[in-house]
Amino acid sequence: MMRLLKTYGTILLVFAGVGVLRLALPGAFLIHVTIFSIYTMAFSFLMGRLGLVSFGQPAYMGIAAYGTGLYLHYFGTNPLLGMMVGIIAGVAFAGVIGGLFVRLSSSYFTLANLALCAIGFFVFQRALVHITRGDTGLWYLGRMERWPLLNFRDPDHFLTFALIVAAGIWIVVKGLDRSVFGAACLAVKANERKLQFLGYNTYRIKWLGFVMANSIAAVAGTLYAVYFGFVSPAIMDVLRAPEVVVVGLLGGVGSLYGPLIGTFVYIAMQDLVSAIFVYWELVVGTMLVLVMMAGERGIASLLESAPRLLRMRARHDRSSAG
Amino acid sequence: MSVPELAGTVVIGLAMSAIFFMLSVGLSLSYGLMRIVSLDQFLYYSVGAYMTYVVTSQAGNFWLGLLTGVIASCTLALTVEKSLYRRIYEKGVMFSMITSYGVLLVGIGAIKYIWGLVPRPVMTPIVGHVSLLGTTLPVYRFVVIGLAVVLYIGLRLFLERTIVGKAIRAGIEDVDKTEGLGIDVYRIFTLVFLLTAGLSALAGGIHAPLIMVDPHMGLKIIATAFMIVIIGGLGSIKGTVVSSLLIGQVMAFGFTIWAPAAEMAPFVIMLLVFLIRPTGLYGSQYLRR
Amino acid sequence: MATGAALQVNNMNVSYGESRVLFDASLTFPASAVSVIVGRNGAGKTTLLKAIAGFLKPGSGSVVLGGDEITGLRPYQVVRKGLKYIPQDKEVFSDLTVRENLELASYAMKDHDWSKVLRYFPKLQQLMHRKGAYLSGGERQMLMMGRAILGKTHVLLVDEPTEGLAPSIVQDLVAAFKQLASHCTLVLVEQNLAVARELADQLYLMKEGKVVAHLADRAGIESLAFEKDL
Repeated sequence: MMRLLKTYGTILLVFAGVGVLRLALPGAFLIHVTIFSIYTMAFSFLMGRLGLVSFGQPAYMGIAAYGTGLYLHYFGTNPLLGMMVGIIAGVAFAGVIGGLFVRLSSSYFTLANLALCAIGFFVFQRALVHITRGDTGLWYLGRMERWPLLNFRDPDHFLTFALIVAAGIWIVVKGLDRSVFGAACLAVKANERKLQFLGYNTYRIKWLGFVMANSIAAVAGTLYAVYFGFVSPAIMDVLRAPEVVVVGLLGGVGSLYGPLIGTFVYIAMQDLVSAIFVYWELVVGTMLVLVMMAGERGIASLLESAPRLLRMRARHDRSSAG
Repeated sequence: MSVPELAGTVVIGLAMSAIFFMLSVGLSLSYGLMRIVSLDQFLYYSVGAYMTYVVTSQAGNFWLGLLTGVIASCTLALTVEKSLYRRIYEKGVMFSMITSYGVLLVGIGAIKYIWGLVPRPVMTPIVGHVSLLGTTLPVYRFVVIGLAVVLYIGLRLFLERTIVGKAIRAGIEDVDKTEGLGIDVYRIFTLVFLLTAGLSALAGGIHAPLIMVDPHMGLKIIATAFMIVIIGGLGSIKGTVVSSLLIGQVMAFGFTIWAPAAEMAPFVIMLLVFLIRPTGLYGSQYLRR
Repeated sequence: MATGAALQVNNMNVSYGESRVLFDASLTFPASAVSVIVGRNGAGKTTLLKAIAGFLKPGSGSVVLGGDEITGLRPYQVVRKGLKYIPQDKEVFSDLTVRENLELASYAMKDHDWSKVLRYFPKLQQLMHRKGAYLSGGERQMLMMGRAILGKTHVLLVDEPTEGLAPSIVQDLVAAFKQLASHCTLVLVEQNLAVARELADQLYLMKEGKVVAHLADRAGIESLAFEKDL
């Protein structure tokens, strides 16, 4: 028990810390940060641990959001059940698509995902318009059940719920990183062919990693669906596909807290910028170029490596003095 | 479907194929040679269209507009290539993809800033119609098709007959070995990049009278353009031609049968191709990287 | 320049990421002599040649070509200074014909006189219109060497030229190397000790990324044995 607390305690502390920030910051901002950081974790998991870059992440998030939305709009009123439906839809979709896409080489993978996202948007906006009601979207905010202890329409209740979900996901990811599967993922990223020679089925490892990453995206999608109480095709707009790439890279890919830090910085900046400037593409685009030119390591890895760097420098100074 | 309808649909499809070809052949070529995925090409496509719009509405000459668009886009592309791509070529494909998406977004922001969000119409330069198999079709569509054919033949001759074209083919097989002969490959990279940007701008300008010019036009066509490149196989010109023709027809027939199918169909075809050949129809065996 | 060093490598270190593959290598290649580098697989021979030719960036050290420092130049600039590198994979542009392969080298080096190439490798004459994909290993090696001797060629680095070739073709190549040696400085990486002994004026032995022996006299070269020394 103590060992587990020692391993995962930091995660609980970090997310409790985000909750404490509620004293100073608006709830809507923190909720957005929490959900978006989960979404970014999905991207970061794919790129950092499997070396797969997806330009179509909104598709996987959107499918789950629509799963939840359709259930709550047409069938039930229980938001938790709605979330389950959304996640199952997201996982099943990722399982099928993953089976096809994971075989592709990296350039094809990225582009195929981009295409998938564009098609998903189109399907929900126009092809299934009689079910999804197109751009109007599905509304069910008033239909969702409320419980005394969990009222999704109360921002503080929702923030607490989202933080617990996020902490759970971070614990799972950290657990995976420490497992044989995590090592296998990294090995695929480093040298897939070598792993094949050693007799591993890299296809299955990649497929499993892909499904896991997109299950995380699905969780983010269902959280958005129950938070807003409505879902529209905008959630899987291709225009928004680069956002998660920017945030992921900003925070540093593959690091545990990178997605959270990147999201925090990005959304804070976006809120500040859009308050004074309507052309957000100019800002996001410039940031993307600057982040890429500065290097792939992002803010979080700088923060993580700074103490180590200082220690190394101190040791170096000592040894050269002595 | 009657014969006139059929003929009309085929011609519309061919005109679409023509524009798709102009837009995707450069993407395929620059992936083959430089191993980059240059999403900023869709900015040059938009710039080509907007310059055509500006010159056509101000000076009243479409063809001058087209030329202005190509020159403006190539100038922009040269700046981007020299300042950004020079640092990207040695890194992975992802690097170019993400950075160029940044460039594309900046460009879209700039276009919104300059021209606003409202879509703008561009006058068709040739208003005549011809009768064919019992239906009347605008001459402009035939001009578009003809232009694409000329460009294709020109490109083939350039690659097969000129020494620079041979160097490009050699580079597609192996960049290091090409440089090992004493060829400054970066100069050839710049050339192919500019060629691609010029073709993208041309596609944008030619496409403008058929659609409306709007800030998101580049993003709207990304998915289709890349599906064409992927279906044909990255790096293969022949593949790009075949898949442009295929997708053009599929989309044209889709629109006449059931509109939503038109935009779905290319994706279904892409999935089918992936099932059979993960590297596209003509994906080159030389592209091992 | 007859007596000076045509090519000199000073204290070169090369790493691939974290792992170091070349340690402080210093070698001198005298003008118009045949130098052979031998060693087991993974001894760092190919890395050394690639670093000299500019395809790998050395962590430290310098390369001097006929008195000119060429460290850090791009590969095409190194080639234009007269140092050519022929990799071991024996792959020419398979979609291009022999003629087109030679044309490209001519274009790069601005030397359109192929008589020299055809004198050394007369066999290429009949193959002009054949695509690279349909050439045999020996023909491809000849084409690669033919391309390399167009334009000024002070030093020719050749990585395992005889690997995987039939004995009769190896003999042809050895003869060609002997002729070439009077026009330029040859540096060969060679696993075939018989060929190494026949051609070498001097010999370097590499092991685990280090230069471990330098034999500059006939007797030393003759005494080299595979089992014992490599």
